Amino acid sequence: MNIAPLNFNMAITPQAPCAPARPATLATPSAPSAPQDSWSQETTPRPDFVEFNSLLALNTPQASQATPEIATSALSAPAETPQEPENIAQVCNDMARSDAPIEERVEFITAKLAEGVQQAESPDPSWEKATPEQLRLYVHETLEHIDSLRAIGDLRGMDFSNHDLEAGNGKFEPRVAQFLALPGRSDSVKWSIAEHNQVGHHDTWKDPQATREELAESASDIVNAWRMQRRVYDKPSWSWERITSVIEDQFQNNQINTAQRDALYEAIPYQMEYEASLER
Amino acid sequence: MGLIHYERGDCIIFVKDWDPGFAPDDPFYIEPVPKGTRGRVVDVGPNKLRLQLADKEIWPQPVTIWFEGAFPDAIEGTECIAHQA
Repeated sequence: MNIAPLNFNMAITPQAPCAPARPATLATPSAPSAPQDSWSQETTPRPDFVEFNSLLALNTPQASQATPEIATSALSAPAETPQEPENIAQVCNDMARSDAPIEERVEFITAKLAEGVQQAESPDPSWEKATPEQLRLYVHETLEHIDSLRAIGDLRGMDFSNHDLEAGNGKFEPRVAQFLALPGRSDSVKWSIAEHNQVGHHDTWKDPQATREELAESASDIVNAWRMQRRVYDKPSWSWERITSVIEDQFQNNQINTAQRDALYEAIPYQMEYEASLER
Repeated sequence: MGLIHYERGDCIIFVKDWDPGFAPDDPFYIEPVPKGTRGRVVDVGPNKLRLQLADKEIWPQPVTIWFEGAFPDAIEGTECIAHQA
């Protein structure tokens, strides 16, 4: 005996989603900074900079590379504050939100994130960090998911554009990505998941008082993830039949409440509409 | 139509590794079940089989063995279990 297959059991091929046009103001990742090597290799101060450096007591890469004209004007202008260290998560998030093609964003973010991961503090020095190749896979998958959620939010008349890009615990925070990009669920991956789960939509999902409307982003997040090919974790996309069975089973066994069940069911037609839009 | 092989209370053992298929960052995540894990059937339905696995620290709740078709046309979990000898 077989359950009659649901009519909407469509296959999904992972591909770059058609993200809607986004504000041009978001399409401006920070300009790449000058390579540090050019600074560190400069051992003899140029004569025209000796006075400048001693006056400002600054020893920054910008100072060493400034032209004499800039140095002269700096002497008469108020002292500039030293350049803040680059916020890698912010740079990655800006690039993630940009209109650049997904491959371009993957390349840029992977390179930045690899830098950040090297420097990121780990709660246990023995934990192995993700390799650049693992990071690439993670960045690609995360971008596909972020793009999908933004488009689904548009279909729902909601703003999911900050999904997984939250400041502090987003998926491109090097502290989070260093282990979340690893396959499996080791202690280090569990630690990263706990860090990331501090973001708002995960808290909302766990709140028993949350309404169906409040659960909309989490529900679309979950359903979209089930439909994706999860390459980091080597998990195939799920059929609609499996998705509806899991929802019903979880509800019948009191593992989700009514609002969570209804929010998940409500997310399904939007996910379908989104997938249909990719095929057009 | 095949026979339903399991009844409530049956003792089972996993004869193969089985992964419920959730990504590790999924709120519904269930730990994969390695070969040799033992458990007991707590619920049998036309399209599901729920097991309480012996190690309640790892699997505090009963785990549903999933099929994309209906029981007993096992596609996933049920082909990984057998009655304990």
